[in-house]
Amino acid sequence: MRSEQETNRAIDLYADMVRRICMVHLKNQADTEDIFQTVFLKYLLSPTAFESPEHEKAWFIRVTVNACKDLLRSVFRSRTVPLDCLAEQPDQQLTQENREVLQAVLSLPGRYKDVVYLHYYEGYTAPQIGEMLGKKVNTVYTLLTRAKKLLQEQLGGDDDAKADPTGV
Amino acid sequence: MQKQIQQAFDQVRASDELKDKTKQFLAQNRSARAPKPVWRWAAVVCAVLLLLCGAGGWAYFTPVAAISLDINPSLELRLNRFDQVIQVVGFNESGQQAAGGMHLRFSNYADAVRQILSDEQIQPYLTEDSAISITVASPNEAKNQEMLTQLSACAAEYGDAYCCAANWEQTAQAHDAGMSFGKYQAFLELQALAPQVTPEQVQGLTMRQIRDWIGQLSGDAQQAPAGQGQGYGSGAGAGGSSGAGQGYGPHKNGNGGGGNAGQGS
Repeated sequence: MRSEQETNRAIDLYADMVRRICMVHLKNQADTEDIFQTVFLKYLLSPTAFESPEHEKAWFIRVTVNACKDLLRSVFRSRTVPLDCLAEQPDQQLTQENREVLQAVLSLPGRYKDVVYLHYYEGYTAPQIGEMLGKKVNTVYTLLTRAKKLLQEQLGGDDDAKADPTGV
Repeated sequence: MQKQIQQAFDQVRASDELKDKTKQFLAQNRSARAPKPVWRWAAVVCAVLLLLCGAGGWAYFTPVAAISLDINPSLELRLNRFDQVIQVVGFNESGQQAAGGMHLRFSNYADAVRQILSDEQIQPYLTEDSAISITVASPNEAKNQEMLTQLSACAAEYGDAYCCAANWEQTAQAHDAGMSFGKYQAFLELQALAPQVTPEQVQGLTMRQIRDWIGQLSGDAQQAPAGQGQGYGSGAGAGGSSGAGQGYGPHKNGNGGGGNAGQGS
């Protein structure tokens, strides 16, 4: 069992990331609290010795994504809320532009959202995402390509094509 | 687009309230899951074991009955509630020697008495004119009866035996007087006939001598024919003081009249 100091450090370091992954999947404050408790309790009890900060971060991403999927499977759609609730979340003070971007991401089919978040926000490459999520690299490429197309349709523009580390 | 997405997600943050709630939740879980110190369990187990050992030891090593075996050697066997000998005490020199040479602890009392009567240190005392006195004492009358039944049968194999039950409370008085309670019973019997007799006068006598003395003082009308002493222990076992219980009679012709009968009278 990890010390209070370790868990507090992990919460301070990874809470925002866990929150974003929760938002991608759940969009519901109560479920987000559940996921926070589940993820950090797993960390408290996990005997895993992390080799590096990157290893630890990847562990949090994988555990959080899995916890969100488990929660969605268990409650199906009964506890999800419409996208409109994005604006009602008390901790969100989003500009109109950011709200539109987030709504565009959240409106993507479920299988695209993780890869979009991990690639565009966290900066992971397709092979890294594939390893993290247990998907084939080609599948990740395909998902990213399709997601990008959908996002471009909604948001317009392709000015970041050169910066795209996946080359998709 | 990447920049837009980064800017948008940058604004999504976990609130302090959410972080605090999570920390609080983990703190509760940590204390609930913290293993109880091993030493606490060990202490409880040790305390229970000590209690059980103490109770068991007390039950096993507390004497609840005693047998006094007097010929000339004077021995007392102290028994636990499981009918096992837990202590052997010699009350005169020959008794102490005999007690030191035998391994009777944890034997059944009937086996122990047989072993004593068969012992080579005791055998020289079991002559034709000797008297064996076996006295049992316990606070439980039924227990006395049971022991008497077993021991009278056992002693009969070795010659004349006078078996009786004594008052459990009198065992302490006997020890104060420096005698086994079997011999003390005989002393009380004698004292009832001759109040001036003191324990010191009796301590060195054999049971045969005490019995003969009693027989003489009781003005025994049943004088033995010439050449024979009076028999001892007609089976009455009537003690001089209260509580000296019933006796199982001696069983054979008691010979050897009152050679020392005059002592102390």
